[in-house]
Formats: sequence, C-alpha cells, structure tokens
Amino acid sequence: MTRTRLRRVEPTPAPDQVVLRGLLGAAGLDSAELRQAAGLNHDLYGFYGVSVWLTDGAHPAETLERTKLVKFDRYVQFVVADLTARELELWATGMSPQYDVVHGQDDLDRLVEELRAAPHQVRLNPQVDREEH
Amino acid sequence: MIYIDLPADLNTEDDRGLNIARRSDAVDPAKLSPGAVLVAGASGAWSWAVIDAIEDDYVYFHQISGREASQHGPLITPLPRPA
Repeated sequence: MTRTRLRRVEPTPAPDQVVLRGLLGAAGLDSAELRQAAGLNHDLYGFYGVSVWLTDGAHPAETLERTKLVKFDRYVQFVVADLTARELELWATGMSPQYDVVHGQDDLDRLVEELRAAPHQVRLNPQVDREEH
Repeated sequence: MIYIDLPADLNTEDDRGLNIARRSDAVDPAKLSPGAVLVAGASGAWSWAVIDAIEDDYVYFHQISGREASQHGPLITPLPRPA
C-alpha cells in the first residue's frame, strides 16, 4: 500500500539554482544506487523519485554540507536547468529543502539515465563528520 | 571498520524528516525494533541511528551522534560470524 507524499506548494526552482545529492559510495552516480533509491520511493509513494537538496538563500551549500549532507564524504552538484532540459522535473516533497527528481513519464530507466547524463560536479564535503571510533 | 546494520540512503527522508530503509535489507531484521540503536547508511555515508517506527517493510529512523549512541551501550562489537 502506497502512502500519500506531501508536496509543498512553492515557486518552481529557478534555472540557475543548484541541487545537491550525497553520494553513497565511491562509484559516483551509480546506476544501481539510483535505481534502488527511486524504487524505494516508488514502493512508498507510488512514483519514482530520487531525493536531492535544493540550495537557496535559506539553505546555501555550506549549510547543507553540515546538516543534510554532514555524513557524506562527497556529494554531487547539479544546476536546475541541466535537469529540466532532460525531461526531468523537480517536485518539492517532504520537508524543505528536500526535492525529488522525477521523470516526466515516471520512467525508472529514463530517470536514472538522464540523471547520470546531466552535467554535474562531484565535490568533497569539507564539513563531513565521520565520527570514526 | 564500520559495520552497517541497516543499509540506507541518508538522502531519503519522509514527510517528518525521518530517514527510511527497507527492513528486509537489514543484516539482521530480528534486531530491529523501535528505540533500537544501530548503524544505518552506506560506506560513503553512515550514521548512528535510533529506530522510530517500523511499518510494513519500512524502518523509520533518525540520526544521532556517536556520543549519544554510546549511552546505549558499547560502540565496538565483534563482527558477526558466518553460520
């Protein structure tokens, strides 16, 4: 049984805004990881979506590095226009500044392919907290 | 070496801001219960976590610091042995 996903009513992100997503492993934007993330979202909420964080004045990258991304060694950075130019959409879901990247036709294969093909930069998180013991 | 109890994508949050994982992905699903402290995440991003709820095949949890986790018990345990 799928759950209802909260969609916030917010202005459409500007083309030059930046979105960030933490990388789970050393492989960068790994197809299997993206499929797994989108599949979990589908099973929960009924649509394929990959969680990202939208930067804005209230949530600059430096803040997200020490909050939502604080456990990530590395993260990937996209520009909104590079996603929306590829049949991808950004849905404001859950709590701000979370967004889901979705494919316009809810196609899992295209979602993963287009997300990986979109121009992006991998960045080290200088504020990572690994808490090694 | 960190030992991940509950594989999870720490980018993923529900409407309450809780992280989510599949119960069936846990190394030992029998150890999962509300209030349990464990390590959740992946090799590139993991955290100590407390389970808030388990619903169907989904585990909802929030991240905590190592200091907070240590208050629940030792953080270093032997690796599980293969059966």
